[in-house]
Amino acid sequence: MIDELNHRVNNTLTTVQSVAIHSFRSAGSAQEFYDAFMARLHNLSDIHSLLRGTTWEDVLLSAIIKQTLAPYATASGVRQQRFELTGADFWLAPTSAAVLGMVFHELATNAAKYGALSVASGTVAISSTVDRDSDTPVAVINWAERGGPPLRLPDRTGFGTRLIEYGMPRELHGEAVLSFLPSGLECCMRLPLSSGKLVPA
Amino acid sequence: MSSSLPGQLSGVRILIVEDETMIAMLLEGMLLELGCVVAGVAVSVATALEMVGGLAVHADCALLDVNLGGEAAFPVAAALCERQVPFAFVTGYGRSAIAQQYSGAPVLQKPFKREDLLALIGSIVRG
Repeated sequence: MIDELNHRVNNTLTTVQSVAIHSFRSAGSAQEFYDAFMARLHNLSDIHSLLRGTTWEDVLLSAIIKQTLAPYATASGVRQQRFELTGADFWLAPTSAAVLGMVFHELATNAAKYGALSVASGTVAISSTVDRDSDTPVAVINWAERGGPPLRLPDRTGFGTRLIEYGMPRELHGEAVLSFLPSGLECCMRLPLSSGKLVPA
Repeated sequence: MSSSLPGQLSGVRILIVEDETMIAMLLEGMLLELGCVVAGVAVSVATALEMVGGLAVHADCALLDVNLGGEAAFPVAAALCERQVPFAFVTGYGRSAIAQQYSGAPVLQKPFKREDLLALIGSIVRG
Protein backbone atom coordinates (compact mmCIF):
# COMPACT_ATOMS: atom_id res chain seq x y z
CA MET A 1 0.00 0.00 0.00
CA ILE A 2 2.70 2.48 1.07
CA ASP A 3 4.96 1.16 -1.73
CA GLU A 4 2.18 1.78 -4.23
CA LEU A 5 1.65 5.31 -2.91
CA ASN A 6 5.40 6.06 -3.06
CA HIS A 7 5.50 4.75 -6.61
CA ARG A 8 2.58 6.92 -7.69
CA VAL A 9 3.96 10.04 -6.02
CA ASN A 10 7.41 9.51 -7.55
CA ASN A 11 5.94 8.91 -11.01
CA THR A 12 3.80 12.04 -10.68
CA LEU A 13 6.79 14.11 -9.57
CA THR A 14 8.75 12.78 -12.56
CA THR A 15 5.87 13.71 -14.87
CA VAL A 16 5.85 17.25 -13.44
CA GLN A 17 9.63 17.39 -13.91
CA SER A 18 9.14 16.39 -17.54
CA VAL A 19 6.41 19.00 -18.06
CA ALA A 20 8.68 21.68 -16.50
CA ILE A 21 11.68 20.80 -18.68
CA HIS A 22 9.63 20.63 -21.89
CA SER A 23 7.93 23.93 -21.05
CA PHE A 24 11.32 25.49 -20.31
CA ARG A 25 12.82 24.30 -23.60
CA SER A 26 10.02 25.68 -25.75
CA ALA A 27 9.48 28.99 -23.93
CA GLY A 28 10.81 32.22 -25.44
CA SER A 29 10.71 34.13 -22.15
CA ALA A 30 10.21 33.66 -18.40
CA GLN A 31 6.60 34.81 -18.74
CA GLU A 32 5.95 32.32 -21.54
CA PHE A 33 7.44 29.54 -19.42
CA TYR A 34 5.33 30.54 -16.44
CA ASP A 35 2.10 30.65 -18.45
CA ALA A 36 2.67 27.37 -20.30
CA PHE A 37 3.92 25.48 -17.25
CA MET A 38 1.12 26.65 -14.94
CA ALA A 39 -1.55 25.84 -17.55
CA ARG A 40 -0.12 22.33 -18.03
CA LEU A 41 0.18 21.79 -14.27
CA HIS A 42 -3.45 22.84 -13.73
CA ASN A 43 -4.55 20.53 -16.52
CA LEU A 44 -2.72 17.62 -14.84
CA SER A 45 -4.32 18.59 -11.54
CA ASP A 46 -7.80 18.69 -13.14
CA ILE A 47 -7.29 15.23 -14.63
CA HIS A 48 -6.12 13.91 -11.24
CA SER A 49 -9.26 15.36 -9.64
CA LEU A 50 -11.38 13.42 -12.12
CA LEU A 51 -9.42 10.22 -11.45
CA ARG A 52 -9.64 10.74 -7.70
CA GLY A 53 -13.42 11.03 -8.12
CA THR A 54 -13.45 7.50 -9.55
CA THR A 55 -10.93 6.26 -6.93
CA TRP A 56 -8.39 5.83 -9.72
CA GLU A 57 -10.57 3.68 -11.96
CA ASP A 58 -11.49 4.20 -15.61
CA VAL A 59 -12.98 7.52 -16.72
CA LEU A 60 -14.95 8.50 -19.80
CA LEU A 61 -13.17 10.19 -22.71
CA SER A 62 -16.00 12.76 -22.82
CA ALA A 63 -15.36 13.67 -19.15
CA ILE A 64 -11.64 14.16 -19.83
CA ILE A 65 -12.38 16.32 -22.88
CA LYS A 66 -14.97 18.46 -21.05
CA GLN A 67 -12.69 18.94 -18.04
CA THR A 68 -9.68 19.84 -20.18
CA LEU A 69 -11.58 22.22 -22.45
CA ALA A 70 -13.61 23.91 -19.69
CA PRO A 71 -11.21 26.91 -19.43
CA TYR A 72 -11.74 27.54 -23.16
CA ALA A 73 -15.48 26.91 -23.33
CA THR A 74 -16.45 30.57 -23.58
CA ALA A 75 -15.01 33.16 -25.93
CA SER A 76 -13.39 36.10 -24.17
CA GLY A 77 -16.38 37.66 -22.46
CA VAL A 78 -18.83 36.10 -24.90
CA ARG A 79 -20.85 33.12 -23.72
CA GLN A 80 -21.20 30.80 -26.63
CA GLN A 81 -20.70 27.18 -27.49
CA ARG A 82 -17.13 26.81 -28.72
CA PHE A 83 -17.05 23.02 -28.80
CA GLU A 84 -19.22 20.40 -30.40
CA LEU A 85 -18.67 16.92 -28.98
CA THR A 86 -20.33 14.06 -30.86
CA GLY A 87 -20.10 10.33 -31.40
CA ALA A 88 -19.03 7.29 -29.46
CA ASP A 89 -17.64 7.48 -25.94
CA PHE A 90 -14.86 5.36 -24.42
CA TRP A 91 -13.68 4.26 -21.00
CA LEU A 92 -10.04 5.18 -20.46
CA ALA A 93 -7.58 3.57 -18.06
CA PRO A 94 -6.04 6.21 -15.74
CA THR A 95 -2.72 6.52 -17.62
CA SER A 96 -4.55 6.74 -20.97
CA ALA A 97 -6.82 9.41 -19.50
CA ALA A 98 -3.80 11.41 -18.36
CA VAL A 99 -2.01 11.33 -21.70
CA LEU A 100 -5.17 12.09 -23.73
CA GLY A 101 -6.01 14.94 -21.35
CA MET A 102 -2.59 16.41 -22.07
CA VAL A 103 -3.14 15.98 -25.82
CA PHE A 104 -6.46 17.89 -25.68
CA HIS A 105 -4.83 20.55 -23.51
CA GLU A 106 -2.08 21.08 -26.11
CA LEU A 107 -4.66 21.23 -28.93
CA ALA A 108 -6.80 23.74 -26.99
CA THR A 109 -3.93 26.04 -25.99
CA ASN A 110 -2.64 26.02 -29.56
CA ALA A 111 -6.15 26.86 -30.83
CA ALA A 112 -6.44 29.67 -28.26
CA LYS A 113 -3.09 31.14 -29.31
CA TYR A 114 -3.17 30.71 -33.07
CA GLY A 115 -6.28 28.82 -34.17
CA ALA A 116 -10.05 28.78 -34.00
CA LEU A 117 -10.20 29.73 -30.31
CA SER A 118 -8.14 32.89 -30.91
CA VAL A 119 -11.16 34.62 -32.49
CA ALA A 120 -14.72 34.99 -31.21
CA SER A 121 -16.31 33.21 -34.18
CA GLY A 122 -14.11 30.09 -34.16
CA THR A 123 -15.32 26.65 -33.13
CA VAL A 124 -13.96 23.16 -32.66
CA ALA A 125 -15.81 19.96 -33.57
CA ILE A 126 -14.66 16.82 -31.76
CA SER A 127 -16.07 13.56 -33.03
CA SER A 128 -15.35 9.94 -32.26
CA THR A 129 -16.33 6.69 -33.90
CA VAL A 130 -15.26 3.06 -33.96
CA ASP A 131 -13.77 1.93 -37.25
CA ARG A 132 -14.63 -1.76 -37.55
CA ASP A 133 -13.33 -2.13 -41.09
CA SER A 134 -9.73 -2.48 -39.97
CA ASP A 135 -8.25 -5.84 -38.90
CA THR A 136 -8.92 -4.89 -35.30
CA PRO A 137 -11.49 -2.25 -34.24
CA VAL A 138 -10.00 1.21 -33.92
CA ALA A 139 -11.24 4.25 -32.00
CA VAL A 140 -11.10 7.23 -34.35
CA ILE A 141 -11.07 10.56 -32.52
CA ASN A 142 -11.05 13.72 -34.62
CA TRP A 143 -10.44 17.37 -33.66
CA ALA A 144 -11.44 19.89 -36.33
CA GLU A 145 -11.13 23.67 -36.01
CA ARG A 146 -13.33 26.03 -38.03
CA GLY A 147 -13.62 29.78 -38.39
CA GLY A 148 -10.12 30.63 -37.21
CA PRO A 149 -7.56 32.98 -38.79
CA PRO A 150 -5.34 31.76 -41.66
CA LEU A 151 -3.04 29.06 -40.31
CA ARG A 152 0.62 29.72 -39.70
CA LEU A 153 3.15 27.00 -40.33
CA PRO A 154 3.43 24.66 -37.37
CA ASP A 155 6.48 24.19 -35.23
CA ARG A 156 7.21 20.54 -35.95
CA THR A 157 9.65 20.28 -33.07
CA GLY A 158 7.44 21.79 -30.37
CA PHE A 159 6.43 19.81 -27.31
CA GLY A 160 2.72 19.67 -28.19
CA THR A 161 3.39 18.35 -31.69
CA ARG A 162 5.76 15.66 -30.41
CA LEU A 163 3.38 14.64 -27.64
CA ILE A 164 0.47 14.36 -30.09
CA GLU A 165 2.15 12.72 -33.07
CA TYR A 166 4.77 10.65 -31.26
CA GLY A 167 4.46 10.26 -27.48
CA MET A 168 0.74 9.59 -27.04
CA PRO A 169 0.39 7.19 -30.05
CA ARG A 170 3.35 5.19 -28.78
CA GLU A 171 1.75 4.73 -25.35
CA LEU A 172 -1.66 3.86 -26.84
CA HIS A 173 -0.27 1.77 -29.75
CA GLY A 174 -1.98 3.98 -32.33
CA GLU A 175 -1.26 6.93 -34.56
CA ALA A 176 -2.14 10.60 -34.70
CA VAL A 177 -1.81 13.03 -37.58
CA LEU A 178 -1.97 16.82 -37.43
CA SER A 179 -3.21 18.40 -40.68
CA PHE A 180 -2.91 22.13 -41.24
CA LEU A 181 -5.83 22.60 -43.64
CA PRO A 182 -7.14 25.89 -45.10
CA SER A 183 -10.30 25.41 -43.00
CA GLY A 184 -8.29 25.03 -39.80
CA LEU A 185 -6.16 22.58 -37.88
CA GLU A 186 -7.33 18.99 -37.72
CA CYS A 187 -6.01 16.19 -35.58
CA CYS A 188 -7.01 12.62 -36.35
CA MET A 189 -6.17 9.97 -33.76
CA ARG A 190 -6.55 6.26 -34.51
CA LEU A 191 -6.23 4.15 -31.36
CA PRO A 192 -6.72 0.39 -31.55
CA LEU A 193 -9.21 -1.05 -29.06
CA SER A 194 -7.15 -4.26 -28.92
CA SER A 195 -4.61 -2.55 -26.66
CA GLY A 196 -7.20 -2.52 -23.86
CA LYS A 197 -6.23 1.07 -23.06
CA LEU A 198 -9.61 2.30 -24.16
CA VAL A 199 -12.90 0.43 -24.28
CA PRO A 200 -16.20 1.46 -25.93
CA ALA A 201 -18.60 2.84 -23.32
CA MET B 1 20.97 23.73 -16.56
CA SER B 2 24.70 23.16 -16.68
CA SER B 3 26.39 23.28 -20.04
CA SER B 4 29.28 20.96 -19.17
CA LEU B 5 27.20 17.79 -19.47
CA PRO B 6 26.02 17.62 -23.08
CA GLY B 7 27.69 15.12 -25.35
CA GLN B 8 29.55 13.18 -22.67
CA LEU B 9 28.02 9.87 -23.71
CA SER B 10 28.35 10.49 -27.41
CA GLY B 11 27.04 7.62 -29.51
CA VAL B 12 26.01 5.32 -26.66
CA ARG B 13 22.87 3.46 -27.73
CA ILE B 14 20.12 3.21 -25.11
CA LEU B 15 16.90 1.20 -25.12
CA ILE B 16 14.16 2.83 -23.02
CA VAL B 17 11.47 0.59 -21.52
CA GLU B 18 8.88 2.90 -19.94
CA ASP B 19 5.08 2.95 -20.28
CA GLU B 20 4.34 6.55 -19.25
CA THR B 21 4.66 9.00 -22.13
CA MET B 22 5.92 12.00 -20.17
CA ILE B 23 8.57 9.99 -18.36
CA ALA B 24 9.73 8.36 -21.61
CA MET B 25 9.92 11.82 -23.23
CA LEU B 26 11.92 13.13 -20.24
CA LEU B 27 14.42 10.27 -20.57
CA GLU B 28 14.68 10.74 -24.34
CA GLY B 29 15.35 14.47 -23.97
CA MET B 30 18.02 14.00 -21.30
CA LEU B 31 19.72 11.13 -23.17
CA LEU B 32 19.87 13.15 -26.39
CA GLU B 33 21.42 16.05 -24.46
CA LEU B 34 24.06 13.67 -23.13
CA GLY B 35 24.88 12.61 -26.70
CA CYS B 36 23.23 9.18 -26.52
CA VAL B 37 21.28 7.58 -29.33
CA VAL B 38 17.81 6.39 -28.31
CA ALA B 39 17.82 2.92 -29.87
CA GLY B 40 14.13 2.37 -29.13
CA VAL B 41 11.31 3.05 -26.72
CA ALA B 42 9.16 0.13 -25.58
CA VAL B 43 5.99 0.81 -23.62
CA SER B 44 5.09 -2.76 -22.64
CA VAL B 45 6.75 -6.06 -21.78
CA ALA B 46 5.59 -7.48 -25.13
CA THR B 47 7.08 -4.68 -27.26
CA ALA B 48 10.28 -4.70 -25.20
CA LEU B 49 10.69 -8.46 -25.68
CA GLU B 50 10.12 -8.03 -29.41
CA MET B 51 12.81 -5.35 -29.58
CA VAL B 52 15.32 -7.27 -27.49
CA GLY B 53 14.61 -10.84 -28.61
CA GLY B 54 14.27 -10.15 -32.30
CA LEU B 55 17.54 -8.23 -32.30
CA ALA B 56 15.47 -5.49 -33.93
CA VAL B 57 17.34 -3.06 -31.72
CA HIS B 58 21.02 -2.91 -30.94
CA ALA B 59 21.59 -1.27 -27.56
CA ASP B 60 24.65 -0.75 -25.38
CA CYS B 61 22.44 -0.39 -22.33
CA ALA B 62 18.76 -0.50 -21.38
CA LEU B 63 16.77 1.51 -18.85
CA LEU B 64 13.87 -0.47 -17.40
CA ASP B 65 10.82 0.84 -15.63
CA VAL B 66 9.84 -1.87 -13.13
CA ASN B 67 6.07 -1.64 -13.55
CA LEU B 68 4.83 -1.55 -17.15
CA GLY B 69 1.10 -0.97 -17.07
CA GLY B 70 0.72 -3.39 -14.16
CA GLU B 71 3.16 -5.95 -15.58
CA ALA B 72 6.58 -6.50 -13.98
CA ALA B 73 9.52 -5.80 -16.30
CA PHE B 74 11.59 -8.79 -15.11
CA PRO B 75 11.02 -10.92 -18.26
CA VAL B 76 12.66 -8.05 -20.16
CA ALA B 77 15.57 -8.12 -17.70
CA ALA B 78 15.92 -11.88 -18.35
CA ALA B 79 15.97 -11.32 -22.13
CA LEU B 80 18.60 -8.59 -21.73
CA CYS B 81 20.77 -10.89 -19.59
CA GLU B 82 20.54 -13.53 -22.30
CA ARG B 83 21.69 -11.01 -24.92
CA GLN B 84 24.35 -9.67 -22.53
CA VAL B 85 22.94 -6.16 -22.72
CA PRO B 86 23.57 -4.36 -19.41
CA PHE B 87 20.62 -2.57 -17.85
CA ALA B 88 19.49 -0.47 -14.93
CA PHE B 89 16.07 -0.15 -13.32
CA VAL B 90 14.42 3.27 -13.25
CA THR B 91 11.72 3.17 -10.65
CA GLY B 92 9.54 5.02 -8.20
CA TYR B 93 9.37 1.97 -5.94
CA GLY B 94 12.92 1.79 -4.61
CA ARG B 95 15.14 -1.28 -4.37
CA SER B 96 12.61 -3.39 -2.50
CA ALA B 97 10.57 -3.84 -5.70
CA ILE B 98 13.45 -5.45 -7.61
CA ALA B 99 13.28 -9.25 -7.92
CA GLN B 100 16.01 -11.04 -5.97
CA GLN B 101 17.94 -12.33 -9.00
CA TYR B 102 18.39 -8.76 -10.33
CA SER B 103 19.30 -7.17 -6.99
CA GLY B 104 22.80 -6.52 -8.33
CA ALA B 105 21.51 -4.25 -11.12
CA PRO B 106 21.86 -0.50 -10.63
CA VAL B 107 18.69 1.40 -9.66
CA LEU B 108 17.88 4.99 -10.62
CA GLN B 109 15.23 6.46 -8.34
CA LYS B 110 12.47 8.59 -9.89
CA PRO B 111 12.51 11.56 -10.07
CA PHE B 112 16.11 11.73 -11.30
CA LYS B 113 18.57 14.40 -12.40
CA ARG B 114 20.44 14.42 -15.68
CA GLU B 115 23.68 14.17 -13.68
CA ASP B 116 22.40 10.94 -12.08
CA LEU B 117 21.59 9.54 -15.50
CA LEU B 118 25.05 10.48 -16.78
CA ALA B 119 26.77 8.82 -13.81
CA LEU B 120 24.60 5.71 -14.11
CA ILE B 121 25.12 5.14 -17.83
CA GLY B 122 28.77 6.12 -17.61
CA SER B 123 29.37 3.46 -14.96
CA ILE B 124 27.49 0.83 -16.98
CA VAL B 125 29.14 1.35 -20.37
CA ARG B 126 32.61 1.91 -18.96
CA GLY B 127 32.27 -1.20 -16.83
